[in-house]
Amino acid sequence: MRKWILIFFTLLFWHQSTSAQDMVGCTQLLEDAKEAYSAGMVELVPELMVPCLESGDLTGETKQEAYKLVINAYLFDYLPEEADTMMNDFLNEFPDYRAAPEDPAEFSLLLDSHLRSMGIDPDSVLVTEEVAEGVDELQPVDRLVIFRRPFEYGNSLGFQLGGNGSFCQMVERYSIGDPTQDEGSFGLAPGVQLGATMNLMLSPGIETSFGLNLSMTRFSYQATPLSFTNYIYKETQNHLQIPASVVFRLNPDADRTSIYIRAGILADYLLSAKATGTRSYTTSLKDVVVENTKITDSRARLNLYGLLGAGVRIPLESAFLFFEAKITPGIFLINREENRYENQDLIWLIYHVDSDFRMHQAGIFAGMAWNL
Amino acid sequence: MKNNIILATILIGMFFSCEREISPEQADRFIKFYGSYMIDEAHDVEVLEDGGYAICGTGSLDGQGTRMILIVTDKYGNLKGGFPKYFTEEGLESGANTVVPIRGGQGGFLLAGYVERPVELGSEVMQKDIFLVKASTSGDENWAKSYGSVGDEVILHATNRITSGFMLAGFQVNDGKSDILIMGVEEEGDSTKLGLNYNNPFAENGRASYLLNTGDRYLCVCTYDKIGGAGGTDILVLNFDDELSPLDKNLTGDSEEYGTCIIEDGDDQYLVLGNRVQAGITEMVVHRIETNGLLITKSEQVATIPASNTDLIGERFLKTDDGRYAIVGTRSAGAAQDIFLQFLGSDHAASGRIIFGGAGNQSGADIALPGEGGIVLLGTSNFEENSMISMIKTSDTGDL
Repeated sequence: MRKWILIFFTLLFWHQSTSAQDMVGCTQLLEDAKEAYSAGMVELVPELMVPCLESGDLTGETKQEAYKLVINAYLFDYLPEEADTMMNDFLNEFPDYRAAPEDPAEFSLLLDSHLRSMGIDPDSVLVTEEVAEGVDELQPVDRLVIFRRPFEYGNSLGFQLGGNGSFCQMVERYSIGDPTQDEGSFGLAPGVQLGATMNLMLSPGIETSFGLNLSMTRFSYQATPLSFTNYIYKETQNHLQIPASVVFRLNPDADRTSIYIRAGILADYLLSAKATGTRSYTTSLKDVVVENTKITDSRARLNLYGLLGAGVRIPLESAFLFFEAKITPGIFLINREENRYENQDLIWLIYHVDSDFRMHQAGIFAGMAWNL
Repeated sequence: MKNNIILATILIGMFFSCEREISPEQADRFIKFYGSYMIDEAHDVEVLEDGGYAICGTGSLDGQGTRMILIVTDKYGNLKGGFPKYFTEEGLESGANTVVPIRGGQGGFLLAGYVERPVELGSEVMQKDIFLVKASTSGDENWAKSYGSVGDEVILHATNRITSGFMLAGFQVNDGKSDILIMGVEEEGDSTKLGLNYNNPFAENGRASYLLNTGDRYLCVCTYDKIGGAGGTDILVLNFDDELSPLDKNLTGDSEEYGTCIIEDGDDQYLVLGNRVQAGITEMVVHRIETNGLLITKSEQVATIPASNTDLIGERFLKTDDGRYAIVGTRSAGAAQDIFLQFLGSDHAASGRIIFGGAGNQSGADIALPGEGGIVLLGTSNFEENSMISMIKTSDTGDL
C-alpha cells in the first residue's frame, strides 16, 4: 500500500514540479510537502520545496516554513551535509531566527551550532535600552556573549612550554688561522622556551595566532684554528619573541582532536648573550678557559625568523591541550659583522672569532589554551 | 606550477646550503696568529708587492729550541703554502729581528738576527753572533752567513744599501757592555770592508735600533749611554752614507731616553720615536730633526705621550696617508700588557689610543701600511706557557 502511495505522490509531485510551480503555486506545494512529511515520505520534501526556495516564489513566513521543512526532511533522512547547506541558506535569509520550542530538537541543535560558528550565542537576545530624553530612537545594544559548547574550538588564550634546538648555518667562515682549514663546525645544544599564545578564529578552519615567548637558545662551535690547538665555544642567548602566524586546521569538522599546521613569522629581540670557551692543546699544556663572557654587543639585537609548525589539539571542557613541532628558520645573520673582534678574551685566549652565520631553530612544545 | 616548485626548491636550497668563499672584506680587517704551542716572538712585518705580508721573529721547534722564523701570508693574513720557514746554522738556536723583502718580495727575503753558539766547543756558555739568511720567494734558503766575535753581536734592523746589498744595525757586547754596531753586507752576504763601531767608553746599553735609507744616506736611531758614566741613556741619531763615516746628534737632554724608530716627515725632516723613563714610568717621546746632507742641523722635541701610572713603550711608527702618525707599542699596567695603537695628529698632538688584547700579555712590535689601506700591527701574544705571533689589520682609524 505504502509503495503505491509513494508512486502516486512521486508521479504527482514530479508532474507538479516539472510543469512549473506557478501552475499549482509554491504555496500549494508547501501544503503537499507537509503532507508528504507527515506521511513519512520525507525524501519527497526537497524535491517539492527546493525549486520553490530557489525560484523566490515563497516569501516571509511561508519561505521560512519551507526551509524548516526541507532541513527537517534532510535530518530525518540522515543527510547532514545537505541539512548543513540548507541551514546556511536559511540563516542567510533569516539571520534573526532562533529555535522555537515547537521546532524538532535536531533542527534546534543544528541551528544553534550554526549560530555559534558565526560567533552568535543562540540564547542571546537583542534588548533595547532607554536612552536619554530627547533622543528619538532606541539604539539596539548587542549583548552577545560568546558561548562555546564543550569540545569546540574558538578564540583562545593559553601558554606553552617546550624545548628547542638551534642549528647554526655557516654563511662565511672567519678564523684567526686560515678559515679554509680550521674545520670549524656548529653543534646543537638544547634550549627552552616559555610563552603565551592567543588564537583568534577567522573561520572554522583558519585562525590567526599571536604570542609572546621567552626563549633560551644554545649552540656550540668547535674549530682547530691552528694545527696544535682546538677549542669549543658554547653560547647561550636569551630572547624575547613575538610570533605571528596563521593556523590551518586540517580537520575543521572534527569534534574532537584537531590537527593543524602553522605558518608565519617570528620577530626576535635578543635580551642577552654570553659565551664560554675552552681551548685545548694537542700537547700536555693545560687548557685555556674563558667563563661566561658577555657577548651581547656582538650579536644582532633584532632578528626575523620564518615560522612553520604542525600540531594537534586535544579538547577539554572549554579548553584544549596542544602539542606542536615548530621550525623557525633565521632570515638574517646572528652576528654583528662590525663587532666581530669585540670580545678580546675570546679572541686572544680562546682564538675564537665569529663567522657570519644564521641560526635556525626546531622545537617541540606543549601547552594549554582556554576558550574565550 | 611545476616550475614554481622547482624554483622554490632551488631558492630554499640556496638559502640553507650556500656558504660563501672568503670575501675580499676579510682582507680589510683581521686578527691572525702564527707559531706553535711553545714560545714564538714577533719582530718585524713588511708589506709585499702582491699585497701579502712577510713576518719574521723567533719561532720554537719541538725539542730543537728557537729558530729564525719567516712567515709569508697573502693579503688576508693567511699563510702561504710552505710557510712558516725556520732557519738555523748547524742546528743552533737562532732568531730574526728584521726582514727585508727584496724587490717587494719577488726577489726573496733577507732575514737578520742572531745565532747562538757555545763560546768554545763543549762549553755551556753561549754567545750570540750575527746571523743572516737569504731566502727565496718560496722560503728556501739561498745562503746563510754568520759573523761574530767572542762577545755577542745581534742585528736589530736592516735595510737595503744605497748601492747594493744590505745595511745592518744592532749591537755588540764586549765584557758585558753593549755598544752600537752598524755594518754592511753585499748581496751574497759577504761583509763590506767598512764597519762602524761607535765606541763609547761609557757604553753599557748602547744599540743601533732602526735604520732609514733616505736614498742617498742613512739615518740610524740609536740608544747611547750618557757620557761621563753617570748612567742613563740618550737618543742618538747617526747620519751617514755607504762610507760609514757618521755625523751624529744627541737628542736627549738630562732625561733618560732610548730610541726605537725614525721616519721621514718632509724634505730633510724626520721624526724620531723614543721612550723616556721618568720617575719609574715610561712614556713616549717624539723628536723632530732637520738635516742638510750629512749634517743634522736642528732637533726639537715635538711630543711626549704619557699615561697615568702606565708604561707606554713605543716600538715603531709611521705616517699615515692622511698626514697623521700611528705608533705601535706595549702598554704595561701592573702585570698586564696590551698592544696599543697611538695616533698623533698632524700637529703631533696625541689624538687617540686603541688597545688590543685580552687576558694574558700582548706586546706590540711593528707597524706597516698596506697598499690597499688600513694599518697592520705585529705583536706577540703571551699566555701562561705559550706565546704566539699575532698580526692585526685595522681600518685607517684603527677599528677592527
